[in-house]
Amino acid sequence: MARRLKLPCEETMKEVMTAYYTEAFTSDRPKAWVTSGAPVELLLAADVIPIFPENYGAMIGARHMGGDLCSAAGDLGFDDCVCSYARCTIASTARGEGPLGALPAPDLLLACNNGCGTMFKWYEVLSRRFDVPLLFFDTPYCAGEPTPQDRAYLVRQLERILSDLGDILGREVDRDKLWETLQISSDTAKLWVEIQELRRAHPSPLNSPDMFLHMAIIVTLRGTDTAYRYYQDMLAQVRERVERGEGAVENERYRLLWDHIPPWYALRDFFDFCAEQGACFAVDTYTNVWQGEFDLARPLESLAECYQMVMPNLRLPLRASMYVDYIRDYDIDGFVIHSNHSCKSYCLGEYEIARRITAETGVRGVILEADMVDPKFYSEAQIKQMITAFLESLD
Amino acid sequence: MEYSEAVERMTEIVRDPHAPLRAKRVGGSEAAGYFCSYVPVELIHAAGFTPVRMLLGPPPGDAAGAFMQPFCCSFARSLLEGLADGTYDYLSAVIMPHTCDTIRNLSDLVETAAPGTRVMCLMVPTITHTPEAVDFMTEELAALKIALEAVAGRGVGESGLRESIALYNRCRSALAGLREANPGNRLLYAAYLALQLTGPEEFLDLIEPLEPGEERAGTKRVAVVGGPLPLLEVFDLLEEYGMSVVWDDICTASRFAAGMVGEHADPLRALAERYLGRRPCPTKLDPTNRREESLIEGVRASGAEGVVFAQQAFCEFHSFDYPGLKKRLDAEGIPSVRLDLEHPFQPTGQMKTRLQALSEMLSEGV
Repeated sequence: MARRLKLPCEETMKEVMTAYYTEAFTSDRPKAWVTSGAPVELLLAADVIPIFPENYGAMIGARHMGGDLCSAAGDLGFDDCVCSYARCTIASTARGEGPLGALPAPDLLLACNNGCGTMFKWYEVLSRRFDVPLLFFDTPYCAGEPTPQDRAYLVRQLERILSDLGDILGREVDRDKLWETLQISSDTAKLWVEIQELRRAHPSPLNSPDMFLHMAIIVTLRGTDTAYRYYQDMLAQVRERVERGEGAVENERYRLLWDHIPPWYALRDFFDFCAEQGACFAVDTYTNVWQGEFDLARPLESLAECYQMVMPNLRLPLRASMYVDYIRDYDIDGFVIHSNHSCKSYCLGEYEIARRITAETGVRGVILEADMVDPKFYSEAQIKQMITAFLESLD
Repeated sequence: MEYSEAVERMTEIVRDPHAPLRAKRVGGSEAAGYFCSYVPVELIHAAGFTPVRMLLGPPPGDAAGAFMQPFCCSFARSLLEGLADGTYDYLSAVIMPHTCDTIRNLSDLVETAAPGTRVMCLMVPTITHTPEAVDFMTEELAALKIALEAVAGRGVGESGLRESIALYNRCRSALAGLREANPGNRLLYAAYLALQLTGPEEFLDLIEPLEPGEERAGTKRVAVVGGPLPLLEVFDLLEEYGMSVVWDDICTASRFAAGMVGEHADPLRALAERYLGRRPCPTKLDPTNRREESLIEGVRASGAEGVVFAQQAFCEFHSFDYPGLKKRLDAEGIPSVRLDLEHPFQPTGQMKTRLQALSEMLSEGV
């Protein structure tokens, strides 16, 4: 069994997440279900508790409840081509089952399609299920800099969402509090980027499964002092680890890039298997999505740009060049792409991106077919065989 | 012209739209392809191109397989195959809107899979009901107009655009009249498709001289719901079970044709308003559940007794809507079946069983 080095802040993480879910389940404050790529800062400034069904989907997967709940979603009429985060959380709601039971019912919903179009379809289902309003932020696919019409469209939508949010809550959203929240969120994202950059060290101080764990707070609580303090501590601890020359994987032999959301049900099994062979995922595309610094001199414009220009919402040449940069900046030997059955938005183009990476860097990779929550698309023996053969080919 | 001749000629257009368009190109007339019914054909036409809806390429093969996962719909994979193998080599440009996640990503892949294809992206807003969405669409159309003008080598004047709008409005009126005449599944759905695969002038030459023929009202009246449905064989199959399609929510049929463009307002804004104002497709936000309400209203108004869902296999957007629509139909006592379609079309035993079951329910007056 590969050893996994824990950072001291992991204990804090458990406390923070427990406190967060306790509050979400028990508080009388308004609650919003929100997509991970939506501008959660608007909700925090409005004193609304954000709840992230995608996080819950990951928990469902990690607790091996995804198979049953996805199957239950099938009984509700949702077939396998529907995102498994959506399927398992819809079924969790209908059956009252999940790692913590069903999530607390929302008073409103906030969705954004910068990750995929799936988001608003999923939230439409939720809006009808709970009979609550859906606020939606539409972010056009981006070829580079936002166009003038993009900017106008995005900012007008943000103004409308703020106004609608005020109407729903019966009180206006405090703009000063919003700017303050944006500042904290921006500062927190900077810390997260610094932590990511420390992974360039040899050996890498953090493996991707570590990041999948630590990302819970940047997704859920960015924009809060709690998140800022957490990543300050984490940054210091990772720096110390780099100074000690301590690697996340014992005897790091291969430095790999991981692409996409992981198969949560196989998180330990798969990444431990790789670590046992000396493979450390020194960088991943997924946890790098939560970046973006806001310019408080033009807050809404800057908020709009940051949320439009997240990686899955960028045209393929831009995405491919990001991967190539990661390969070079993190001194990567090979890449592993998860072709995730649930996610056409992030996956379609992977074959071409793989070719471009190899053409530009000479680094090769392997593509694994699976799903993030539904284990029926995961063939353990086949995947391990592929990984072993791939790692051998890197020697 | 009689129905039988019209069926033959329109079916021929649907069967092979490419040969006549290639011949026209030799004669100096250019065509531009487009994906999806959210692309305004009027603008393409006004720029001097025959607008050609890209509906079906060859069955997906190696080219598509090299770029797209098998869990993408065969509709999209087939179009990439067709662009890569030269099926669409006569097109001067391909206009790809931002609709579902698959088509959005496909716009990037086309440039590599089919080098030399001139791709124009149209960012259609996902929101359709707000003033800022209409403004955004109007701006996007203005950008598309400039791109088309650059390829055409000529400007698109306001009067020319108004003429194209009027011409397509005439075509839509003719289609509405044909539907009223109830000429049978094959002619009606071939006519919808023909307008998307040939120029509006040629289409009017076919449809306007059409003599009113005998009504072909099947004994079993059904509605069909789905995305792109360019396979006339599906409509024939329904007819084999005695089903006459009296209402649809299909993006290659009434969702394409319903609703006129205003002829007196600013033409680009009028186009934006008409295209966004239609009954939404599943790729558009539907906060008031218009799809469900319009399905129930359409079924009631047309006298349909059952519903056939005919959607592309692996279409996530339709699959999200299906359980809600089905539940509502069940609550209203309207029987329905679902067919998941792939290209090439093979009527499976399961499909036939489902249609047989529906047919029997309709016979019993359920």
